[in-house]
Amino acid sequence: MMQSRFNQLAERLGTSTRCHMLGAAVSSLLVIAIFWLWSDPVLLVNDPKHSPEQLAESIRLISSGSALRNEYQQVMRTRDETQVLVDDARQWLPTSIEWTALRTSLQAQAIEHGLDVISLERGNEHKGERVSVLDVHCELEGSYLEVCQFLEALAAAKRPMWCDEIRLQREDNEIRSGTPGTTRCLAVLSLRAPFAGEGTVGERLLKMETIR
Amino acid sequence: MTSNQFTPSTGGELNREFDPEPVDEVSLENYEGWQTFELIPPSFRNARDAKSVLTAWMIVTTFLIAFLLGSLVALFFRGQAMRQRNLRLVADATPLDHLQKTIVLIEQQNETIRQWSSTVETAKPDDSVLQILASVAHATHPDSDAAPEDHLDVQSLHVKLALEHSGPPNKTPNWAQPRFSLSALANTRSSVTQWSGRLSGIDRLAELEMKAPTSFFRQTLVQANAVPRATSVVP
Repeated sequence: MMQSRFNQLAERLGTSTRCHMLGAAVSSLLVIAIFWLWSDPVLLVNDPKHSPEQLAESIRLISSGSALRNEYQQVMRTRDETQVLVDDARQWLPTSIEWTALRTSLQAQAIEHGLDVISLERGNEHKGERVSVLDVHCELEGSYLEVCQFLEALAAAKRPMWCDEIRLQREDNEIRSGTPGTTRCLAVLSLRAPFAGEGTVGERLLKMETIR
Repeated sequence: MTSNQFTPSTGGELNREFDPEPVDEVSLENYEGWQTFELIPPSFRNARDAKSVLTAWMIVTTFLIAFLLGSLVALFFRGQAMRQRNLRLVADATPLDHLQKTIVLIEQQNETIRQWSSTVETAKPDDSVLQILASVAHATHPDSDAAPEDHLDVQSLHVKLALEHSGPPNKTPNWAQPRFSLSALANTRSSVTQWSGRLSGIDRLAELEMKAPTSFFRQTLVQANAVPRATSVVP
């Protein structure tokens, strides 16, 4: 079959010159095809799913694998340190304030330091950028020393409070040359109890969910 | 019998007719081309030549096709191997990529927490008012054994710390401005002068102003005004 077709082709071409021409043409085409294939093999040797940049990035990542793991350990150590900061803030900054509990606590502290509570009133809530605060107006009677001790206790409490304003007035006008601080006085205090109000940095800090 | 046929004769005739004469040596090489002499027709000969030429080109072409196919197969497998390798490469790098993104996120979050924490920490209540009171008390009564005429009797004290406000820093509203005022009864001018000097030395008080008569011989009310300084702005 092949032989007969070959013979037919040879007979059809007729002369050896024609055969040379046909053979050279076909061979030339094949040589060109082979040359083109090897000079630019991208058609067959390519990867359309992955870009060269992606592969280069993958190689970079694999080569820096151990460095990345060390870096992860380092940032996790830093995370633990920052978590301590958040926990510290959570210790002193409540998310809300219950007035009854606060009043009871203030009264107890004042009495503990020998002060007479004249009045204790709840003020307004103020929303600041950092935290929100609840105003407390407080009138106390006692010695200067007792007032100072009360102020110290306020600042050192587990849930500390600001004293942003204080008015001290002597109870009598008698001139005393005795020990300072023993004179009784009326103290009008403006206190500010901070809490992590809505929209403050404090709220965002306490509600932040850490990545692990 | 034809005339060309050889007929034997007698001895004399024979000798006469075939008298040996010198002849050139006969060689087939003298008849060049006789070997290639063919009786086959030119068309047939051309077809035969074409066939042999075609056979030669077929061999060359077959070799080239084989080489081309081999190249195609080799490159195909090379490409497939490369794709497989790339797949493995990307698959191996994926967890590391995730790790790297996690690291970046954690670093950003750490930085944010640090900034927020330091911001919130400035709002943590401190004892600024107490520090001011203590400094003033120390400046007013530095020595408990002081002479009675040098004793200062504090009548009233007002300390107000600066409050946080949302307006521009140079336009602090009245309710947010810090204030300090102190009134005391003094017996002598010299005690007021010394007291003023001690109050001026307090770091937590700025812009101190003393309001006292230039000279007095009896108990007089003296007033001191200043701007108190807190560790941070009260929220």
